[in-house]
Amino acid sequence: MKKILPFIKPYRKELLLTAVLCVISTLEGVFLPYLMSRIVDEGIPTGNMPLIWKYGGVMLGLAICSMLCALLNSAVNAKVSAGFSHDLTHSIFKKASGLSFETFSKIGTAGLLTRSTHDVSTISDASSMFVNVVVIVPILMIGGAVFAALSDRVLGLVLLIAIPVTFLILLPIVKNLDRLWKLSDEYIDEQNRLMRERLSGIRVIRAFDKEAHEHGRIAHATEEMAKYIIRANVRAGYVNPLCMLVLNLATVGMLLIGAQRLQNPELLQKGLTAGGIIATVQYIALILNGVMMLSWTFVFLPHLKVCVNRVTEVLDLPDDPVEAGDGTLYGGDLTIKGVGFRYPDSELLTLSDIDIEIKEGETAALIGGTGSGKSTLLKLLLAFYPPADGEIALGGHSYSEIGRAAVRDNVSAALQKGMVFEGTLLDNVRMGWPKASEEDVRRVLDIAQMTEFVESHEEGLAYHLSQSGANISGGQKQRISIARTILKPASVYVFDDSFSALDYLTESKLRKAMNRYLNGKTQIIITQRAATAMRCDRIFVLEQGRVVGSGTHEALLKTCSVYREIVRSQLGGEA
Amino acid sequence: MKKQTASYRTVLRILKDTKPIAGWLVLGAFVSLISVALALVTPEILKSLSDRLYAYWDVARTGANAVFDNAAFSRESVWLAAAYAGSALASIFEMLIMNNVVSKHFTCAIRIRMSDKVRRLPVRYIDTTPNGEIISHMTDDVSVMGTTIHGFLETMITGFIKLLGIIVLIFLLNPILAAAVVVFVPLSLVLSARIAGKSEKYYVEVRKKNGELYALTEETFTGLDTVKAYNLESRQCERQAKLCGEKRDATRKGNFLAAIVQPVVALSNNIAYIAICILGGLFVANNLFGVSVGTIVAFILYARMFAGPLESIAQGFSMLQHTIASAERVYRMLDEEEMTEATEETAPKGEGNVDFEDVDFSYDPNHPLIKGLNVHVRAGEKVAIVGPTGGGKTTIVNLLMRFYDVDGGHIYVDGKDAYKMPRADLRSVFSMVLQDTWLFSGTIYDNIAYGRPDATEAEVVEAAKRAHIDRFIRSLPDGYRTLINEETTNISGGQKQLLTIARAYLANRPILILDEATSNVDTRTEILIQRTMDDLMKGRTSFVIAHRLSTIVDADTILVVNHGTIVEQGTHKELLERNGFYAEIYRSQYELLN
Repeated sequence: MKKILPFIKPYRKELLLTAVLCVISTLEGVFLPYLMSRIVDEGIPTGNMPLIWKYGGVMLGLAICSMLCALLNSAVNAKVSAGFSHDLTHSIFKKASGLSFETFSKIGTAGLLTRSTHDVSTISDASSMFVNVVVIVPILMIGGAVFAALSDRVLGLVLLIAIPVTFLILLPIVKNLDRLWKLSDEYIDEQNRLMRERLSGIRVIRAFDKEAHEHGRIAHATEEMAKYIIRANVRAGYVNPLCMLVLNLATVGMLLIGAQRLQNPELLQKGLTAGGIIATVQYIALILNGVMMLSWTFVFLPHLKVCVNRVTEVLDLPDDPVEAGDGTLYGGDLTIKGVGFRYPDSELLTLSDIDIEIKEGETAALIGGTGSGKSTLLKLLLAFYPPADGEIALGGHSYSEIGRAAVRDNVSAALQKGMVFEGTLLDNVRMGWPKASEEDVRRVLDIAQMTEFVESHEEGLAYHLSQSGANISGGQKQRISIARTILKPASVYVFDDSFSALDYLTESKLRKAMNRYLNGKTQIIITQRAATAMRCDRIFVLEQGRVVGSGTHEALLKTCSVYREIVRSQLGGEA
Repeated sequence: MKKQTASYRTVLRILKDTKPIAGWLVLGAFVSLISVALALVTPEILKSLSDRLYAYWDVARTGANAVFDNAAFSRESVWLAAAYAGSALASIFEMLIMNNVVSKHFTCAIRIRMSDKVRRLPVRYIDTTPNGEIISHMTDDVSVMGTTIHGFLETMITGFIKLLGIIVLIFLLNPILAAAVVVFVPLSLVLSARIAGKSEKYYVEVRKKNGELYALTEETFTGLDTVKAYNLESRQCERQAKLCGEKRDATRKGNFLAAIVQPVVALSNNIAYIAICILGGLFVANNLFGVSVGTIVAFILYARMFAGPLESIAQGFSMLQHTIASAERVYRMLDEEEMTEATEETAPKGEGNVDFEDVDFSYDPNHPLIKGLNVHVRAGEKVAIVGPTGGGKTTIVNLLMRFYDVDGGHIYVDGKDAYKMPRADLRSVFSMVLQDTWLFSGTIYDNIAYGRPDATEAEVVEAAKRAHIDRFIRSLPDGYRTLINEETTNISGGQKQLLTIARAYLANRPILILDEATSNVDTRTEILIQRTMDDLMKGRTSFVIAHRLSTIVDADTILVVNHGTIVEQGTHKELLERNGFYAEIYRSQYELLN
């Protein structure tokens, strides 16, 4: 909670104003029955017309005044809740995207996504409701009881007791509601998961003629789901009728007590009136609203607490500021010396004793299977993590000397997934080098064998890519990411499994064009495919985090058994 | 007009679907009518109680000797309590009936019907409809229908009757006061509907921005390595800030408009209240129209009751539009054309002969893909399908398995026309190992036995052994009982592939379809997979979607596919001599060697 307070602080004044406005507009609700009782007690018995008109006028004035306060309050409240939500959402996003990979992986992508979207919006929604509950409910309760006490102390006391009693009856009902809802949500998820599984495996299912079986599984899940939904809905369905019943019975009780007390001449002398008792009955209806509001708040409270805790967890993470680079290019001589690395939560070394030296203008390949440490090495090359041992240097300057942002200015990498962002094709490529002209972008797209794609769409470079490139193929994503990589003027270009979704023909054309374009620059190609690696100036074979062989294709065939095995499996006897 | 009849038809259809629960719905309506009737009686009793109090006090305050009929007052109080209790019990009873019946026999039944429908839908429908869409029809849309059926009694039937009852009762009590209620209370609803309509415009904007924000956040977090590699953190932050700001402004306007509904409603309700007090007060004071203090009390209570059903009826109508849209989506799926099954032939003998004769096919009538395809495969032969990624190699598999139907020509399996037998019979001679290793959430054992649930344990283990996965399975703590699900991380992609091979082994069918992609599999597993696939193919007719040409040079027929069409057909040697597209692919793969 403490971490959330700073986000509320800028709105202190508005919140204070809201509270004041709330008090005024709510009190009106309590005042009206009071004035009504005055009409009944003073106006009616004496037939005092002007008095009735006077009280009626006061009532109308109060009603209008209350509405104006409430309108103003709406404006202030809308400003505060929207502003608070904005501030929190933006801060969390900024915080999360600026985390180091080490910290980021502690919570994970899915976790951070939930925290910065769902959790934040739950807190924001609650924040606007919160004001109502904190300010309005107590006014209704206390105001109602006080006004009831004005006409008769005992009646006020009865009212004051009725509130917690109602609350005690409601609490056990709403207490587990949150859990029941969560449970029925889980069953809904289960049904959806089975359905998704079935739809995605439709071919295998039909090949084995198992549709009836799959349908049975889903039908069963749906029936289970109905059971839990019923349980949750029934529980929630009790709240309103029971709440009404308790307060209605309180009304009857108060009328009975009121009638008894009215027959006591002493009290009559003190000013107990029929109108007073009738007004008291009306306060109950006001309080009813407050009690219901409060009990629903209790339903959401545990959920809200979880959200606040999760958001706070992110806010508490250490920042990882990256100092901007000055754009110096350090040249393409890359030295990796005795580098070892382990992931923060892992006991085993992912990389150990890596020694790699690549001269400016060379094209080197890193080959190895999954889990050999190729991609981890790339993460070190991009300074996502510092190596545990050893040192990486570019053009004779060590990474620690160059600084992380500057390292990333020097190393341009196409990453495995071929990430594209929602936006135009032009924007996606230009992310690599925002200063590039449209002509430059066309040129690199041509090298990436994307000209046909650009020309086949009317919009050309303005072609809109949907989120995660859902409207293009894996191969197209990889080629866009290659174009982005070579567009950026850098010292070293790295391609992590960037050709895996391309057929050999396209790969061959692309590599030829790329080699001409990047002539004289250092290239590192990370791959599992022997055919991709074999033409490189030098090949480094990785296995289980170690370099087990290096040299040219021909040399490695003679000296490195791991390499021989890879080549034989992929190219058959012909290599 | 056309649209209206369509909506009307949809509503009728929803009602038709509630037929099995019609009896319960009638009971629910009856019970809720009791609840309404009892609720309507309470202000009358309160009127009488108030009159008794006032009459006594009016005399007693002057010091005169007044008599209070305690017995009558207590009796009426008991009646009041009983009416309250009865009304609450009846509404709880109705709630129980509706929840149980609607959820169990309406929404659940429709969902099961939809799941059953999927069994008979063509693969084309499932391929062309996003999975998420089908799932959301099945959950969200059906639940909207359920909510409406549920609310139907409360809003339409109970609401109308309650409203009618109140109007009759208050006009009987006093027409002038009744007019105040009937004029001012509905006014608030008209106003609130107007304002709510305006705020909805902003909420549409908020939802849109929210979607964009989610997308931006998701892509930034999932692509954080790319973002950092290009020093784009601040760019993403700026984009997020812009969206966030736009959302804030829309939220603020929407929230404000939504929030002013309440004060406006409160004001017009209060005006009705004040009018009752002033007019009622004047009438009582001047002994007009037989109005008493109790009448004022009763009117205040009726006025408060009046707003409730009005609101729920208004809500019910707006909900109805929403429901019709949902129901139309659900019914559209339930009405989708189903596959027809031919039964003139029975299952093929299982020798493994396959013939394509003059087959024409296209996914889209405007783009014919395959024209006049002839392929003849004898038992035990190997057919390779090669071509660039995304070129349409799986089309042949789609036709062979009848996931899609040909537009013209014939496919014969062991001399029998594949289109004259039930699909399940045709498929019973095929096994598939696909690149997309589909395993269902369940144990490893059940997954291997998927194609033959009657297999003995020894047979399952034997299949796993032949697929070289037995040892790995035994190394897992739960062995064959290990659960595979979405979160499974201790089984790699290659191992999953081997499990699907074991599944195909166990199914033991004469014709094989293999998609031999092995991307993201380490070298050793790849060799293993290749070897087990070769082993599996022995003595069986096989269709192999080849990614590496080295594995298929010995195929009996190679089909070369590009842009969805079969461009060449022949043996490796023939195709090289022809010096066409195949020769080009072949050379490009080996060009990298030289």
